[in-house]
Amino acid sequence: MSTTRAANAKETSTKAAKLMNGAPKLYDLLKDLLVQLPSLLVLLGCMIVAVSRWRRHPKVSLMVLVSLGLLSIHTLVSDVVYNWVPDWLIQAADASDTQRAAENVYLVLGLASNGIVAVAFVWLLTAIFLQRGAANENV
Amino acid sequence: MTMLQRAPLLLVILGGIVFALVRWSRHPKVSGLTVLGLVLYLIKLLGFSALSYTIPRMRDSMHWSYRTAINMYQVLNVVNSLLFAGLIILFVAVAYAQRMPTTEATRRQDLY
Repeated sequence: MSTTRAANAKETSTKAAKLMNGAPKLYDLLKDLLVQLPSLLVLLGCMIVAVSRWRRHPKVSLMVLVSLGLLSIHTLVSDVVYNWVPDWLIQAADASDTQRAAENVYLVLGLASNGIVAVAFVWLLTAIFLQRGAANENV
Repeated sequence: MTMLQRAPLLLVILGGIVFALVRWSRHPKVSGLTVLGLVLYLIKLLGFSALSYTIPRMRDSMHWSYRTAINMYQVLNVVNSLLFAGLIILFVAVAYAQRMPTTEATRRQDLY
């Protein structure tokens, strides 16, 4: 009985410790999301504009929506990823090689993150020049 | 290393500028605004990379506390986010600027 109680107490204390470690991370995540709020609100507003223009320019609106959707998801996911993933991967690496592991982790994450933004911008730039006749310029 | 991380985005920005310049004769206003937006984005990208590297040095030279340096990063991130928001507004406005409704859409409107 006492063994079970001791095991339960140990489990509870482990859970509490995990929670204590996770709390600052959650606070950091909320702070990062708050910083990104202007971008997120503008992305949402522009997506509403794209939907409202769907009838007139369906293809352009689709491309704008895909691009802005990708940027919104990227903004939300990258904050979560940068808060947790580097620590996990660096802790899992060999203790003697932490510096190198950190550099590699941040290089890969940076490339992936910028690659996604680059793809979103390709869509947005394509939308800008899509279905434009030369005559449209004078309208 | 920062530039290597940003290589995909830098390539797209430079490619976009070249493409907009090629299209300049067909759509001068749209191309001009696109080039303006992309150049501003490039300046923002390079400028904020440089600034984020400057903060630790400024912390040493100006004897800032750790908290002050962190606050400076926060301010930098907020300004970065606001500028990005402004650029998105510009690009979306350009995407719909000086366009005629597509023939399909016009045909659909005729039905009503």
